[in-house]
Amino acid sequence: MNEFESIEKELKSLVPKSPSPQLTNRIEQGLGDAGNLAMRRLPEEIKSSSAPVKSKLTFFPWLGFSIAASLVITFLSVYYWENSGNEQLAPSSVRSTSPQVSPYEDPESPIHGVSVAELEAQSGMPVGGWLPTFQERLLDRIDEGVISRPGRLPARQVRMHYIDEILWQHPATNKRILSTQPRQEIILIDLDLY
Amino acid sequence: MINTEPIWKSWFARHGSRLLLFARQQARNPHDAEDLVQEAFVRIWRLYGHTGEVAPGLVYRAIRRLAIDWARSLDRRIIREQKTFELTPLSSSFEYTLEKDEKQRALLRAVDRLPDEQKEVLTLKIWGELTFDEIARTLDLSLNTVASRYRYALQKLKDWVPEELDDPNPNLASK
Repeated sequence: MNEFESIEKELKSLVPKSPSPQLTNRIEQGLGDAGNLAMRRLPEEIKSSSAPVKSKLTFFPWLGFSIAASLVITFLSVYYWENSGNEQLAPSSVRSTSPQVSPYEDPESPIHGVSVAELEAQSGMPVGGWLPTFQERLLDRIDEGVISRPGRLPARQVRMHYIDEILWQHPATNKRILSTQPRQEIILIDLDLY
Repeated sequence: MINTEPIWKSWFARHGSRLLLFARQQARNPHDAEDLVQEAFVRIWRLYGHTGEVAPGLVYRAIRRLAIDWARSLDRRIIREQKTFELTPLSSSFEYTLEKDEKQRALLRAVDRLPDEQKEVLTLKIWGELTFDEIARTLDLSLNTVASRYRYALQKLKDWVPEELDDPNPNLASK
């Protein structure tokens, strides 16, 4: 038995003071993006000690386009599915149910020459009342090594691959549309010469 | 929805108090100690943090080197002279609990009496949980020197604790 075992045990029972929350905050600020390169999943019951990461809406200018594109694809899919799946209809009856092209332009409609009301009637999908939910999913993180920058400190380049998901839900009809869009971010972390 | 947290937070929650304890010995005042921990941790995590795991020995070593650099810096010396911090004993860097018995207080008072070079080895071994080899690399010392300092420290504590129990000084270890 080690002659110092008992005193070592007593020393280990002493607990050093924890760092202050201010120090942790300062470190978080000092790390910046470098602090978010390595993440771990938390079990459901454990609440994150940091503020929840809000979805970045940097892709907002593309949001309208994405919504419109999603709706068009959905409407067209539903329309063609209904027509192709209905074998009892004669060609003449199919022709009779095809959308009538409006003589005027509906500025709200994503399809040229077809009004929103007609789209809604043809597809059976509501146009208004959709509620979006945004989520950012990190797919991959690639360390591309240290890069040199003329006149500046070298930096570590990290490429982040995300999927931005928008889940559109229509509470009245219980319909859902999932729109996904890939995105990449390149983060440069300044390296100090040490 | 999946909750995620930066790995550095759990890493720092596990090692932060030990790093701070070591930094307190290197810096001699609580503010500089926090600055040391912040600077050393941020530097090391920026270099290696993307791997998700960093050996604590690297951060201890960075703290030590920064402390030496800062001590050499005239600016910091002037700043330190302007501050009126009292040199606080190492015992004040531990959690104070009502349950802490008289023997633990005596132990802390004995730790305060140790020479600095033995105290830092003891800190890295007991609370930093580093191996002698890691301590030797952190402090730029030979393995034999580290091992003997540790042994001397424990021997002194073993001798001094009964003395402290017999003749306690209430001014120490009471913070």
